[in-house]
This record gives sequence, C-alpha cells and structure tokens, in this order.
Amino acid sequence: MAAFLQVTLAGLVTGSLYGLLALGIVLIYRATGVLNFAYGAIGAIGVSVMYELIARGHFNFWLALLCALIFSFIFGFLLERIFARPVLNAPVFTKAIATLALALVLQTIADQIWPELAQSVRFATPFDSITTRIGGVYIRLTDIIIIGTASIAMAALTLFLTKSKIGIAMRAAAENMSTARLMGAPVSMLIALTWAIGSLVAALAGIMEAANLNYVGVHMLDSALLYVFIGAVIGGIESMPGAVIGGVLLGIADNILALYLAGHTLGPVNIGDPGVRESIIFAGFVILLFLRPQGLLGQRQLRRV
Amino acid sequence: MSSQFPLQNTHRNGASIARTTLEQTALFLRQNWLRLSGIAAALIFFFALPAMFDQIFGFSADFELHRVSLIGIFIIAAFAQNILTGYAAQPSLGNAAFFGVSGYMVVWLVNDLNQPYWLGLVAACAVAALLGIVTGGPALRISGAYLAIASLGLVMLANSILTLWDTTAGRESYLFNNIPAALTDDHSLYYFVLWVVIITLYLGYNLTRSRIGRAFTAIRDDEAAAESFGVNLTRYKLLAFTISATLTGLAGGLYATWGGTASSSMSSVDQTIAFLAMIVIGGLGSIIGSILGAIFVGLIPLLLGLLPNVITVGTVQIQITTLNTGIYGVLLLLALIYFPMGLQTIPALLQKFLQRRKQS
Amino acid sequence: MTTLTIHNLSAGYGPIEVLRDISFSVPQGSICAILGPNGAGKTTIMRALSGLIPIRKGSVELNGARIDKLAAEQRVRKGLMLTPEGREMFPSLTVKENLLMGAFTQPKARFQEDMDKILEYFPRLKQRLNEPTASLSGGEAQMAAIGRSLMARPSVLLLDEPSHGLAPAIVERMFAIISKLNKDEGLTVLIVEQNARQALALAQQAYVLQAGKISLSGASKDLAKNQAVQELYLGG
Ligand SMILES: Nc1ncnc2c1ncn2[C@@H]1O[C@H](COP(=O)(O)OP(=O)(O)OP(=O)(O)O)[C@@H](O)[C@H]1O
Ligand SMILES: [Mg+2]
Repeated sequence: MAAFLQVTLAGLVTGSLYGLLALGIVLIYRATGVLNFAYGAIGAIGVSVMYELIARGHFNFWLALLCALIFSFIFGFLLERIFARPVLNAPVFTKAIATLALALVLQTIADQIWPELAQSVRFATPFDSITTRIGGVYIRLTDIIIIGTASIAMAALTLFLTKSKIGIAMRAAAENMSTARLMGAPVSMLIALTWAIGSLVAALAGIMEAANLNYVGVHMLDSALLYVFIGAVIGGIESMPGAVIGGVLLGIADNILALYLAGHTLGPVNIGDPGVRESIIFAGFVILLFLRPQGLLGQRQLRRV
Repeated sequence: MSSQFPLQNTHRNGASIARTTLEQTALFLRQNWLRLSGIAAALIFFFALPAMFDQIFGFSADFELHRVSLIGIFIIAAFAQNILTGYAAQPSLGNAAFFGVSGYMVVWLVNDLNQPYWLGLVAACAVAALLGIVTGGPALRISGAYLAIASLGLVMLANSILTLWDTTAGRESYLFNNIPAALTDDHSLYYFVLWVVIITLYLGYNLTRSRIGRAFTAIRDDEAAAESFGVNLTRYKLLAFTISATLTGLAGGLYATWGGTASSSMSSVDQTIAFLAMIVIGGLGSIIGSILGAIFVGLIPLLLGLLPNVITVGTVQIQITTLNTGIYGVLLLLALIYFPMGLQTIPALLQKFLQRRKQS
Repeated sequence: MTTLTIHNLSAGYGPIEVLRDISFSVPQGSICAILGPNGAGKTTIMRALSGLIPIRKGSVELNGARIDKLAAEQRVRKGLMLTPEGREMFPSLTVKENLLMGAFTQPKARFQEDMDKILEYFPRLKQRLNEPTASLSGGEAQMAAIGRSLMARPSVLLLDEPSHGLAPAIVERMFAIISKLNKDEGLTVLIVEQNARQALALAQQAYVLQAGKISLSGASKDLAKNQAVQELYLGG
C-alpha cells in the first residue's frame, strides 16, 4: 500500500508538470493553430538561463528564478514576433513543421551556449533535503512545492482567461481574429502575449522538473514532450481543463505501471523494461482515442453541411 | 498545376470534334512541352548520374552514389505520405510505423526464414497494407490534431515493440546479411531504386488522375460536398490509408536493404516527421512536390556534410559540424516562410516574376 | 455637418478591383441604406470603412477627420463600429463575454450600466447571458451581434445585412429597434440590405450599388417609387 501511495505521489508530481505543459501547448494551439513542437526546447532554454545565473552569475536561487521567468516571457514574445508571425496564416502542417525547425535551431543555439548541458548537470534547490514521512510514504518538500505551484499556476491561468478583459480578448481572438480587431482588441499584441505566457509556463514547468530530478540539461524536456502532447489530446486539445486532466492521468499511469511491471518477466520478455510500459501507454492512448475521438473533455465537432 | 485531363482543353476550341488523334497528340505535346522536356531531362540526368559521379568523385563514387540512393527511397515514402495527407487530406503521422515494421519484416523473412528477397519485399508490403487497413479503419473516426497525435502514438507503439524485439533477441539492431548479391553493389542498387521510383511515380500519376484520385481531391476540398455527390468517404479514405501504407512499406523494405539493417529508429517520431516535412516543403497534393521535398530533406544534410569542419573568421574558429542541425533548421524555416505552399510553386512564381519584369 | 463622408473610394482584393470611385455620405443622425445585388461589393464597402481591408484610392472621413489610414482597432475608438455580415460571434464565448468584447475600448466601470441599457433594447438576451453564443438562434445571435457593437458606444453603426436568414416578423422587430436607437440615442446608421422594401422604409436616404459603382441615390421615398428600383428589388 505504501509503495502504491509513494508512486501515486510521484505520478502526481510528474502529472502536474505534464498538465502544466499541456496547458501551455493548448493555449498556443487555440490562439494560433500551432502545434508547438518547439515547446520543450523553449522550456529547456528557460531552465538553462536559470542555471547560468546561478552557476556563473552567482545569483540567489529565488532571484535567478524570477529573472529566468521574466526572460522566458520576453523570449516567447520575441519568438512569436520573429518566427511565428511570418507563418501565422500558413496551413496547419506548415506551422507544425516550422516549430520543429525552430526546435532544431533553438537546440543548436543552446548546445553552443551551454555545451556542458548536453549532459545532465546537477541542479540544487534550497529545499532539496527537506523531507517528511507520513505513514510509510516519504514526502519531499519539493513534491509539495511542485504540486502546489502547478495547481496555482493552472488556476491563475484559468482565472486570467475567463475573468480578465485581456484574457477574454485572447480567447476571442483565438476564435475569430478579424472580428476581435473590429472590437478594438490589439490582436497582434494578444497573439504575441499568448506565446509569452506559453513560454513562461514552459520555463516554470521546466524549472520544476529540474528541481524534481535534481538535474538540468538542454534536452531534459524532449522525452516529456510527446507524453505532454498525448496528455493534451487525451483531455481534448480544445479544452484547457481536459489538457490538465490528461497530463495528470498520464503521469500517474506511467508511475503506477512502472511499479507493477518492475521485475516481472513474461516468457523471454522482460516486462519491467521501460519499452513495455511505453507500449502499454501508447496502445492505451490509441485505443482510448478510437473510443473517444475528441478526447475526454473535447466537444464533438458539429459537421458543417 | 491544373488537375484537368490534358485533352479536355480542346473543348475550348469549337472544332475539337474534327481533330484527328495525331493532331490531339500534337496539341498535347505543345501544351505540355515544358513539363515533358523537364521529365526527359530529369530522366537523362538520373540515368547518367553514376557515370558523372565516377568522373567527379573517383573511387569514393560508390559511397556518394549510395547516399543518393537514399533520396530515391525518401521520394517513395514522401509520395506515400502525400497520397494520404496531400490528396486525401488525412493528417496522419503514422507512416513511420509501417516503414519500420516493413523493414523488420523483410529482414526477418529473408534473413531468419530464408525466403527469397523478392518474396520478402512483397510480403512486407502486404503486411504494411494490412496494418494500413487495420489502423486506417478506426482512424477514420478521428480528425485533425487528434489524428496527428494518435498516429504519432502508433509510431511510438511500433517503436517500443520493435525495440523490445531487439532487446529480447539480444541484439543492437537487426542486421540484414542475406541481401541478394545484385543489390549489394552500389551502382545496381542505385538503378534498382531509380526504376522502383519511376514505376511508383508513373503509377501514382495515373492514380491521381483516375476516378480514385479525383475522389481524394473532392474529399480534400469539401468533405460534405463530396459525400453529397455520392463519394463513399469511408471507402476512399480507407483506400488512401492502404495505398499509402503499402508504398511506405515498400520504402521501408528498400531502406533496410539500403542500410543493410533494420532498426527501431525507422519507426520514430523523427522519421515520421521527416516524411511530413518532405511533403510540406515540397507541396501538398503534388508529385513534383514529393520529389522536391524528398530531395530537400535528403540532400541538405549531404551538402552540409561537404562544408569544411572548421571555418576561421579572423581569430574566431567556428565549428561548422556542430551547427549543421541548426543550419538545417534555418533553411527549413526559410523554405516554409517563403514557400508556404511548397517548393512546387517555384515554377509558377518564376513565371509570374518574369511576366512582371516584361510588363514594366 | 455630415458625419461619415466617403470620397472617390476604390478597394478590392488582390488583382480584383471591386469598388471603383465610390462617393457618398451619411449625415449625422440619419439612417442610410445601401442596396444592391449579390456580389455588388456591399460587404467590401463595409470592410473598407471599418479597416478590415485597405483602401486603394480616395478617402474616408469621420466628423471631418480622415480615418482611412487608421487600423481597424483604432477606428472603433473614433466611434465607428461594424456589425459584420453573418454576425461573426465568438462562438464558445458566452453572450456576456461577447458583450464584454464589444466594450473592449470602454472603461470597465461602465460595463454593467451599458449592458443593462442594451438588454432593455434586446430583452431576449437576458436569459441567455451566460450561454455560449454558439447555442443562440439566428435571431438571438443577430440581436447579440448588434448589442455587442453598441457596447462600444459608437456614433456611427455599420450594419451588414442584419436581416439575412431571419423570419419577417423578427426583421420587423429588429428594424423597429434600430429606428428607436436612431431616434432616442441619435445613433447614425449605415445599413446594407437585400431586403429593399423594409430597408427603404427604415432609411431616410439610400444608395444603389451595382458592380462596384453607385448607380442610383436619393431619398428613400423617391427611390421606392423609382421604376428601376421597383423592377429590380421590389418585384415590379
Ligand atoms: N476575400 C475576397 N477575396 C477575393 N474576392 C472577394 C473576396 N470577398 C469578396 N470578393 C469578391 O468581391 C466581389 C464583391 O463581394 P462583396 O462580398 O462585397 O459582395 P456583396 O455585395 O456583399 O454580396 P452579398 O450580397 O452576396 O453579400 C465579389 O465578386 C466577390 O467575389
Ligand atoms: Mg455581403
């Protein structure tokens, strides 16, 4: 039982990070129709900046955190202006492939600036060693901070999008750009703002992942990205709460599967192998989508006649 | 490019009924001379390429030719993706799964089960086709971004299973030791791939002009309208999945032959995205686009490989090799920004440009 | 004293020039109608006036100041608001959120008061305030679209075929509301209509647009008697 709770906790931690990342991806997708495959690289650059400030600039952890987040916000804004704007009206595929190209460029740049981060480098936080034990379950302060921060960030983003004027205008522009302009909304600004917020969220999630794993690397979010996309799609890529739920479910499922498959074999096959776990998750995902093509919370689209 | 049947243009001239076949042929030649001479030039170029390589590269010619053969395999895979995505408008990213499975199938059948190579290749295509039908059926229920990510899931699933097969069998990758001697020679492999490409594209060209091809385009342009005109959506979409999977299977089998090995990276996100990148760069719904896209994606890394490793600017040394991926990304971005509808639009753009020059 | 003056306006899309040298004006406090067959360029005029497409020649003046170089976002702040053809609601946003978007250029403190006033004109919307506009009926959506435009406190309201696809009774009620807004609030209205009979009854002045040119203009009651107009639009 304790083992089960322990992995559920780990699942909640990764799940809330996946959920947060999925939220950022959905935000950008809805506003600009871009399936942003560069999202992992954007987040990783945010973390690397923080690492730089701590390791070379000798900044205090919290100040470095703040600066990295501000940097990521501006970085996202600039990325939209310089790179996403020229393809804004291109077909959806073109935009998706363009983000892949962007990912290649960003990773090359990051590799040049931080060659040492091609491998994993230790990433320490002020709250690393603080743990407590409830029942048989070890809880790190890091776990609580991650789950708490992710929840607060998701709630804040939701409030912003449903209650503030700018947030509502962002949703409006996502649905009908020219009419939003007619209402006097500065649409071009709003789109750039979407990328800025998305990039900030990516950096926040990346930093928390670094705190979770205690290491930082330029490619640290690459493998998570596909899971995040799957999480977003499971929830329904049009739906923000759906994306969060999908991400959390995936994180928990992954950890629980890891627990129960470990150390077992099936004939010649070692089912403790991570490949088996991945197979089960991908197969489950594919089957789930066949059963519910619009994801868990996505709306079934009405066919135009 | 007009999707009209070439001879239909004669409708515009009232006297078309009186035309003899000879005159029609002449007309067809006159209307399409640019395209026809382009094709002829390309054929001559590609058949003469090995000889030219012998001249240019001397004894590394085989090695270089081998690398070029890969582009031919990519053309087949790109065209397969284009049938599905460009013509039938299905944003499926699952093709790498068929690519990988078929590669493993060929090696398994020929290597481990000692079947003749040709049988292995055909059987691998059949397996891919079958997988295409099995996954295409449910895939019809999914649309848009959901289909894209779901099919990406399929690729990952195939990847995990193939990796698992390798680990269970205790090997790094699946070595193909039984390749027929005729195909181990780089020159004959090149001509073999070239012929397969020519035949595939010729059949593909006729397919896209047939009733099936027109049904695909009708579905792409307006699904509801196509359905109301009596196009059976399920049947044609499934057909697109099947044809695409079969051709991808063919490419996968050739790839395993080309590389002398099958590895699970054939069914990877990177691979499937490369297929998509090819058709987006070349142009959706276009054969020329598939060719140009495959050449772009396949050739750029080769050309970048020709750059010197280190460039010294003043006192600064720049390590070019570490920048290759980034340069490739930048080129990709530029192509997408300047040719959002693909490289296939270059001739038309050029024509427009020349016309404007003439006017002013 | 005229509010909106259009002088020698040309506009179009790509190589196509849809409007050629159009001149007309909408006097302050009046209702003017533009009539014309499909494809005449009526919507193109509305787009050019509101800034969704650039003009190629000529000028657009609002209260004596040129606005044709301003971006669409800025023309709203000058008091010009378009209710576009096909209503163009934000479908997943609620009616209230749509109204809030209409009031984007207005201080938030005013929102409740303005919304209450608009709901008096369009009482049907009251019950649907918290529902996504995708669920509205055609009539309700048109009311919501006009209401959304009014939230910007425009001095000139541009309406592009508000009657399209609506039952005659609803059209009548809507036109009555437009007329009331004109009288009570002094709202200047430029309305594009296919529904010539009702539009001529509503407007004081009308222009007939054909193939991108104004072919007829005059007071509504004169135009209603005009032979050509009768044959074209009023069924003889
Ligand atoms: N976005 C566009 N791109 C190119 N041509 C367009 C575009 N929109 C309209 N047109 C063309 O401009 C001409 C005028 O169109 P417009 O929409 O202004 O007509 P309209 O008078 O509003 O017609 P309707 O009564 O059908 O609404 C038409 O020939 C149309 O085909
Ligand atoms: Mg119109």
